[in-house]
Amino acid sequence: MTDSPPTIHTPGVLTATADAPAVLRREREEAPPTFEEVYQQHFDFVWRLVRRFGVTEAHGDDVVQDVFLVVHRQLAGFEGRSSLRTWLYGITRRVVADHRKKQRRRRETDIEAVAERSSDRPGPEDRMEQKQAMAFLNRLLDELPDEQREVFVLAELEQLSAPEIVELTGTKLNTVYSRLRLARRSFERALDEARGRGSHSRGDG
Amino acid sequence: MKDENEPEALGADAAAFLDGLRGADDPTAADRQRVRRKVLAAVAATGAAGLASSGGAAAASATGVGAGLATKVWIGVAIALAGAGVVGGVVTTLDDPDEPAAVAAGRGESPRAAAGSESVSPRTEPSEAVPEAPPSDSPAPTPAEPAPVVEGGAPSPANVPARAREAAAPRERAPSAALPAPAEAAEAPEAAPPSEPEASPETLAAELSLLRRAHGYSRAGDHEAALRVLAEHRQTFPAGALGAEREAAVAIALCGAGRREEGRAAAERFSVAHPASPLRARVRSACQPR
Repeated sequence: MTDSPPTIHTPGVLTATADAPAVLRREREEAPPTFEEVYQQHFDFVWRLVRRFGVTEAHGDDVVQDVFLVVHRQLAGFEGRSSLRTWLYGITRRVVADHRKKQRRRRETDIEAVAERSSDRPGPEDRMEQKQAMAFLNRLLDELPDEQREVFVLAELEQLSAPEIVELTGTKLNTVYSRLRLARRSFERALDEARGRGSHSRGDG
Repeated sequence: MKDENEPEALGADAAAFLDGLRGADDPTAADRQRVRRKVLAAVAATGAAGLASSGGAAAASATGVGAGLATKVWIGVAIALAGAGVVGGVVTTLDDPDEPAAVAAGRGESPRAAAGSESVSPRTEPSEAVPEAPPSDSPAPTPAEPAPVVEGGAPSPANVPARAREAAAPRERAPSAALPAPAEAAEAPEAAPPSEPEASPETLAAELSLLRRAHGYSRAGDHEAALRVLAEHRQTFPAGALGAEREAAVAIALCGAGRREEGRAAAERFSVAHPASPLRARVRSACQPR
């Protein structure tokens, strides 16, 4: 090779001198986080939401996978106008809604029934109890209207504050409050009823 | 953030109930790994797709029972990725800066090279879990309807090797039949280390970029060049995660190059080594006179 080493241009960083700290500019202007970072930081969140928003275990993997494929595809275009979590939440919600819509349409098919039932089979001992408990919880959540379920899950299970829920869902604060109020009441009632009806024979629903 | 409108908190009983459950459905390390592999495999499938590019989509339904639809959906997604020219870019974001080779190869790759319209199945077979929903905001392009399956499409129990049947059986959650080391990691308890060699994202990206390069050559009709790149892959990643895709590509490229005897032998080896691979039908038909 010949003379000087190749120059590497890193525009975002080099111009960030006068008005803003480099770090800030970097965050604002430069490439969005890598897929790997998003995956590491938010996988658990997406995973839980998918289940709690009513996707059965048999389909959990696929729906989560769908979410991250969309992330994979669209991450480069993520402009940071919302927080990454809000963006990701929006994707998750759409993918889940889409899945459930189609799921409802084909609920009767045999394959579905078999797939879902097989997923209820106990796995290794230690996970079995968890599975049953989660199935129970999901049955309770199933009784809530979707919009109440969403707020309830975010508030009670993800333990987000109301303002955080407002940010994620784009719903007005007062609406969040009223949904949460209704959801809490319904949930308590459903829990009472479910327990009253004989908690000793959970399992085959 | 106290607000007068704030609703009353959940009753103590219900709250305690939820406390007991919170975190019960957190994913395990195996869950994280498994899904990551599936996502990357769905993307990676695009790279291999072009290698299988001489027409038809027979491989699409070669996974057999139950997996056909799932496969198709994934192909759609994978192709959408490729079509958008995003694969190279995004996958290279997984690259470690310390891996200049992978980065360079990835960037040097024209996105067009991966935009083949042919389809191929992802390595990870979604088994009983049929993805109902392509991502709602994806264009969800359905690739050309799979051509009538030449072979292996809807295998009847009679003519499918036992291992293949097993792999396609819906009770396995994430069969890794097409993986080089078909050990079941998916359902392994959290504590157990996955028995399958984990490809790091960096390695996978490097593997992928080699396969994509080969694919580019193949598409351009330069099968010999494709074979050289594939040989490089074999040398660099003898136990690579995309070994099955490579061997499939080798067989197809050999046939494409007119080296039919070698191609047929390679196809045969592939079929034996990966009896349940979704690429099998594609590979075997590649060397057959049409």
